[in-house]
Amino acid sequence: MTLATSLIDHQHESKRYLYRALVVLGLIVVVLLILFARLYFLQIERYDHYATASRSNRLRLEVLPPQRGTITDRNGELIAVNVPSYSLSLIPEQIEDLESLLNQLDELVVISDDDRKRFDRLRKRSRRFDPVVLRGYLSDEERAILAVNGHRFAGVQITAESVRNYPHGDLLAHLLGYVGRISVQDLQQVDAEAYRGTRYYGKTGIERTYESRLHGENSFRLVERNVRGRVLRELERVVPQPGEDLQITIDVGLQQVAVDALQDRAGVVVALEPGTGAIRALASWPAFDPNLFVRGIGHQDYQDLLDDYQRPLFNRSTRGRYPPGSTLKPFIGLAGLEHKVVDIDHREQCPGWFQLEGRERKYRCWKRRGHGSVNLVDAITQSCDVFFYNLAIKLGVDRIHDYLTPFGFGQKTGLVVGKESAGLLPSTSWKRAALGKPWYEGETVITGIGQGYNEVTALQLARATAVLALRGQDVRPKLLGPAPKVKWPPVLKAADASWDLVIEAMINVVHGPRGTARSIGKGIDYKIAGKSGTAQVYELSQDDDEPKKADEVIERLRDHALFIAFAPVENPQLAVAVIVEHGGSGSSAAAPVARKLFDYYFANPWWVLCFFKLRVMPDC
Amino acid sequence: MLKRIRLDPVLLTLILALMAVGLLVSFSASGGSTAVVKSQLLRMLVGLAVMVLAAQLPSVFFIEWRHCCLYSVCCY
Amino acid sequence: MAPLLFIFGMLLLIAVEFGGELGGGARRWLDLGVVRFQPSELSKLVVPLMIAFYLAERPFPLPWKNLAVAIGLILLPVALILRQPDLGTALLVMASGLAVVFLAGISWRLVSAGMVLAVAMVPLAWHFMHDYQRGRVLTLLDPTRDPLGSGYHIIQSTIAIGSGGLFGKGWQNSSQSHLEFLPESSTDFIFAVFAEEFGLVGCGFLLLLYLAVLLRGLQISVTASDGFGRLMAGAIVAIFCCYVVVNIGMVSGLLPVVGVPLPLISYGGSSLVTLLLGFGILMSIRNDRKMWNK
Repeated sequence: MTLATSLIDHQHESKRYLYRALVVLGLIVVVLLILFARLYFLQIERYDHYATASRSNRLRLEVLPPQRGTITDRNGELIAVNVPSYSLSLIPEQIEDLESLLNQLDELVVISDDDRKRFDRLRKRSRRFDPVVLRGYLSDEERAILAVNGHRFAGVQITAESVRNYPHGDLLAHLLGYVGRISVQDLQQVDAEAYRGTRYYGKTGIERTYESRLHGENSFRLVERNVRGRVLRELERVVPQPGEDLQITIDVGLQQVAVDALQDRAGVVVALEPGTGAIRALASWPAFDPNLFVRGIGHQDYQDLLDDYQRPLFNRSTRGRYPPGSTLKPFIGLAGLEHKVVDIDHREQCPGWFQLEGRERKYRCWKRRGHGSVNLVDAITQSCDVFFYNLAIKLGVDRIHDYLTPFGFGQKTGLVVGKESAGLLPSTSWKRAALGKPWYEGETVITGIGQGYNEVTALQLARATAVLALRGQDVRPKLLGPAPKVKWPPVLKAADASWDLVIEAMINVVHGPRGTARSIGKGIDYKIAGKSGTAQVYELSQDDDEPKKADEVIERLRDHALFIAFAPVENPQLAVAVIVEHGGSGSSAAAPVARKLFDYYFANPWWVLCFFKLRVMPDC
Repeated sequence: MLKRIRLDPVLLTLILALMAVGLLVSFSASGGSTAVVKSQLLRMLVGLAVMVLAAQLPSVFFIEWRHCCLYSVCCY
Repeated sequence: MAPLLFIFGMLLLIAVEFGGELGGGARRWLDLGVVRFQPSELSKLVVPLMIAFYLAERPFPLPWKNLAVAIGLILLPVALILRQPDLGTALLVMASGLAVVFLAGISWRLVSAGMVLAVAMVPLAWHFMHDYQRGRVLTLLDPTRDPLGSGYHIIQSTIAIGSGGLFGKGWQNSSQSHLEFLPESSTDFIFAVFAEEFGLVGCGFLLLLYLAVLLRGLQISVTASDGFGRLMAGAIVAIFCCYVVVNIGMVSGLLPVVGVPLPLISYGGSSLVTLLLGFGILMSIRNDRKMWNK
């Protein structure tokens, strides 16, 4: 190609392009003309129509938010409801002298400096024709005063809204969660159109998990307003679809018993029904009042909650990780029987300590003088540590890990409400992967009594107890009712004789003459199978021959008290896990809590309450 | 000055005029909120900076250099 | 450079597909830590850039093979954006790409064939649309169908525009904007506020401003020094025109509601920066012409 032809070509191309560009120009002009014609049609031809529509402006669509679904406990008792709340709002555009108006209003109702500050802040963010809240939560009296005097002021409005209320306060705080003002982040999670008009959003707990079911569907009403924006009458209303009312499996009465029994000590109580998996009590203490969060918690209140060393905001029931201590012994005993490393007749000598061959270190039994010669049943009944040190060494940590896994240790239980911790069930491969270190035999020894790396949540412990109560049938904890009886597939199989032996030992713990928890077995007409546990928080020197008395150790270093149990033994109705933080001994601090739960639960079967109409129950 | 930084005065004038309209209407539509106007102004400044930068690049920059060199040798 | 940019743009789109932020039921945003960015906005510029690069020095009329490749290069990002889903942006990207193909020179017979095909595609497209997209089209035909959703916006925005009349109600005097069809009045529906406050005269002035920008762009395009500059400038003009027409058409009730801002006026980050980047390129093309023709 010569330079000349190339140039000609280039010019050709330019020309052809010019031609096409002209076509594009023509198109642009035509389209813009169409737009202009449309505007002409709207603004000139139909001006009168639209001008009237705009000027009178009478008809206005307003969003009607749906009523949030209520939540009831298994007996139909309301635990989350909606109550009306009234606020005093101002419309900045209609106010001439804001300062004097505020002073005048201050004479009628209390308006604090905080209220004024918040009002100023909100006012800057909102449009001048929108009402801005000045004072929320007006009392009936204040509302009456304003209703009488309010008409004197322009731009003053009293607005009503429906606000969430938790009548039981802190009793169910962690479990129910709470709603709070909907935030920009919340809105990004949902269809913003469906949430127009909605002001609250489930932030934690059940309120969060079942937000979509509780919320409902918004709708609108067509109202006629005068120029000042006052509603003259309603022309059309499409009733919004309210949210679903939820019933949960918790028994508020049992929950109350659990919290009372903790006597203001920090701890967890979990009670669940083995046959259905229904959680009947799930108490984490200390707790907080969720109603504070609905109103918008004040800075100081929130700081107080954060600063409290007992951490009331922390949901111990599903996130608290505790060493299981001796409550792990029945499960390890079962592992020993099934792996045939011990049998019914096998005995160990307990001199009060245990030593690995060729090592100096002494692992102590909780009983300094020793238990003498014990078999498995004795060892569980009296919680002999030395027997289980021996058993753990015979089993090895990996066999313990594999055998305990089906009980749900080291895994989340799959409860969809709130965040859940998985706990920890150690094994050699876990340690290599997580810590990059080999497993030491000494660590196996203390694994045998549930110390060392072992960590469980109270919910896990209750579930494992339920699995034990049902002799290997799976139990999946659930919170949302109703709870039909489900026969989940068995998670592990063991010989009947093994189950009998371990359960017999657990009965002895409560009812036997030498059981660690025999104090709760008095004056009882049903049988409890249980196991106490005392978990070390702070390692006392193993070589220290003079044991320290529990009350000599300052409270924060005191042992956690644990107790697991199920009852009645023949037909397990309730499986319980109790953890009292720094409670000292499991048998004295935690076991009585379990007894109170059983007593209440069996003395007040729900169908009796239903029959005598002692409670309002939808299923009755 | 404008020539030195390779900006087209005609286009620039038009763009600034449109932006001014945008600021006016935003102010009014937001009910007189200066925050909205400030934030929009900031975005516009960022956009203008990007524009000035883009104008500095030779248009051939958007094609491969090799392509461009061949082309200039052939045609000019 | 153009292919690199194109690949970069596509990677961003794919990143959105996997790690994008959810917003209002769609996955469009990419969180870059400091800013949130909408990669589909960038593709409005990168796609025509790529097509212009690819078709810059092709013979006339375009060989079939090149045409097919060009169409493929357009459809890839369009498909990705449709998945987000963002119908408005997808259509704009497609339109800008096709504009370049048209300017690059395909025979009129093909253009008319393409048009027929496009019309034939309408039922098919309907089939693949999301429910809310269908809803918007239906709403256009009957705004009272969905009075709380987009229908409400259309009713309110037409009242706003219509009540503006010849001279408008004056700055800051729009009453319709006080109604509930905010918060979108400062973004996509801002034209309604403008039309109410400044009337037909103001609208005419605004359209003239836009026309002037388009004319200047076309002028730069025609006088560009090389094929690439021509096509690129033409593409930028085409995108800008699409923005204006789709937005005003939507607000005045001629087109279905799609998320397209009014260029240079709407409140919005990604689209504003992309547009100004385009204008920067346009200016650079103009400057190079000057230098080379000396």
